[in-house]
Amino acid sequence: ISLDRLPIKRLESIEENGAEHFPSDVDYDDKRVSLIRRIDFAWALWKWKGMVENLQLAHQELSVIIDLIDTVQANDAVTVAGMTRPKPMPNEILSDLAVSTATKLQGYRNLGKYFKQSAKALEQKINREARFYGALIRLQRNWKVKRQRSNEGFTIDLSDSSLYDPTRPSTLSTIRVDHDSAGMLAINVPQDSWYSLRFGFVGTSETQSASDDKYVKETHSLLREVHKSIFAEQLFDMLNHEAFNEGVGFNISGIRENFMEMSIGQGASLFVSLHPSGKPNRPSYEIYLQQIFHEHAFGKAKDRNSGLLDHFCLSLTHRIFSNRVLVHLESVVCKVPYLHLISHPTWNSRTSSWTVFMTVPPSIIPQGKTQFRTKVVVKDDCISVEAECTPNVVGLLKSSSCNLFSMNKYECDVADLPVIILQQVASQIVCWLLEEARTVGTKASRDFLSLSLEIVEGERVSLVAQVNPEDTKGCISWWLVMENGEERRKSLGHLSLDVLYSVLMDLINLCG
Amino acid sequence: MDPQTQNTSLQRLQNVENRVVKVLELAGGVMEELASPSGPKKEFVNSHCREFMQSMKDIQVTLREEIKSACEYRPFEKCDYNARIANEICFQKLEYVLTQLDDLKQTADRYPSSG
Repeated sequence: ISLDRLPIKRLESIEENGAEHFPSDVDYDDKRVSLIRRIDFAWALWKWKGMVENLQLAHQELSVIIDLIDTVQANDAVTVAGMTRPKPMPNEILSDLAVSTATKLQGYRNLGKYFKQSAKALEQKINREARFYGALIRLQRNWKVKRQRSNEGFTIDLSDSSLYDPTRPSTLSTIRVDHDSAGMLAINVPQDSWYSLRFGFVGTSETQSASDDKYVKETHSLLREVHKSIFAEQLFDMLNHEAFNEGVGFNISGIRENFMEMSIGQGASLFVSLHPSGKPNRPSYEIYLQQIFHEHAFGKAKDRNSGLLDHFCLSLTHRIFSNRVLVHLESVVCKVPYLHLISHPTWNSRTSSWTVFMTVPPSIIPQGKTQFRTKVVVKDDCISVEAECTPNVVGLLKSSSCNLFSMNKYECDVADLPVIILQQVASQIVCWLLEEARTVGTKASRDFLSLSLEIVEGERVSLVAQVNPEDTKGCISWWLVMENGEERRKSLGHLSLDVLYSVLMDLINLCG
Repeated sequence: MDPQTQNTSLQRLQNVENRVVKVLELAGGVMEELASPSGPKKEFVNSHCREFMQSMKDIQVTLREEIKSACEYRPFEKCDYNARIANEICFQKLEYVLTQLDDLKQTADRYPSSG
């Protein structure tokens, strides 16, 4: 582009006569337009022309080649020896290299991304599985975990082949281990599918967790409940079988599914049932039933005629009876201040035992007896009493001495028990007083519950015990009886043993 | 296997898994570095590859150890379910005794001690 730099007015035209014509004054835009019109594309045209010429030359050469090939094909006169690929130009080599390099780099980039994504996915999977297997390992410490060969799954086996084999195999014995939505271990046991044993007398009338640790503990608790449920089912099954055996201690009065009712001794009726889950409160006899079954089931061979139900019912009957006995004993002992009641463990479910202790004030007799015992033993529903100074043993009714140390044993009824105990105790007191009197040289004698002292010939004074279980003030009261031809009685009321002793001493002084 | 060794063995295996993840990450890192337009930094690639090889070696060693020391899986030779039920029964007894003691305490608390 050539531009006139000089700001001179350009001559537009000149006439023959020399007259000059200048262009009229144009405004800026018009001036620009006219300048643009003057741009000279000469060189570019030259280059364009060159390219066109080159193409034409190339076209010419191509035509020649094509003609040659056509001639050769038509005439078969000339064979083409070979055609070499034209050597690539340097810029072509470079661009090929650049393309392949770029492709390679892209490949690396994709590979890198693939590895990193895989790493992330693997990490997530590992963490999920770590929770699952961590929980499974903890449960495996306590429960049998089995791997299934068919799939990748696990089960927990609650059955025990060494146990009493039931005719009613539990559907709960195998528990499948599932995954929850977060991949964590989960076991699903519907609430109603497991049982607990329930026991009672007729006529009378019971998770989404925060941490993994808590979750494992809850799962463990659930497995424990199911395990106990299987045991309960087996126990109930055993009871069902026993129900058809002869038994002394029970009579079946009703059987339904998962429910058994029977009448036992002492006028009681009891039931045993399996009921779906829940937490019943556990009376002690229910625990006992489980214990004897467990000992039996794992102890000896699977002996069907074990008499367990019979034994259990007899034990329960005994328990009811011994509770009555205890009530009677307590009613007496709590009213007499110098008596204490002690229970003895017998380690036998059909035997109970207590002792009524009486402590007497220390006497002037060195190594004198200071404690008297009345032992009460109940076996099934038989009561036996064993004590020193038994009042109603023949031969001891009237005597001038008492063996404070020899024990006698006799039986009694539950209805008579309070009176018998009181009489026994009163007899012991009388014997004790007798020995005290004899020690100081007084001539004394006893007759059942009275202690007599001879004042002078024909005159006797006696301390007489009176027992009354209903007496709320003290049960054992004392009378002073004077005999000199006629009998005069004076009531002394309820005396402590100290006072009684001093009364005796006073009487002795009186006699002496 | 007692609970403690079981725990550490599991931990070791979990460690191996974590290392595999790390190895993958290293490979990815190297690839990305190779793809860098300004060319890979030699030190970076070298250190990553070193770590890669070391980790692979550690993984191999650990797995070999674990395989050798893993004991045969014997499905519960000595089942303790029997003792477990006995334990549950004892537990019930304890619960019962505790309620009895609580009752005793409540009764005793009602009467002020004398002397």
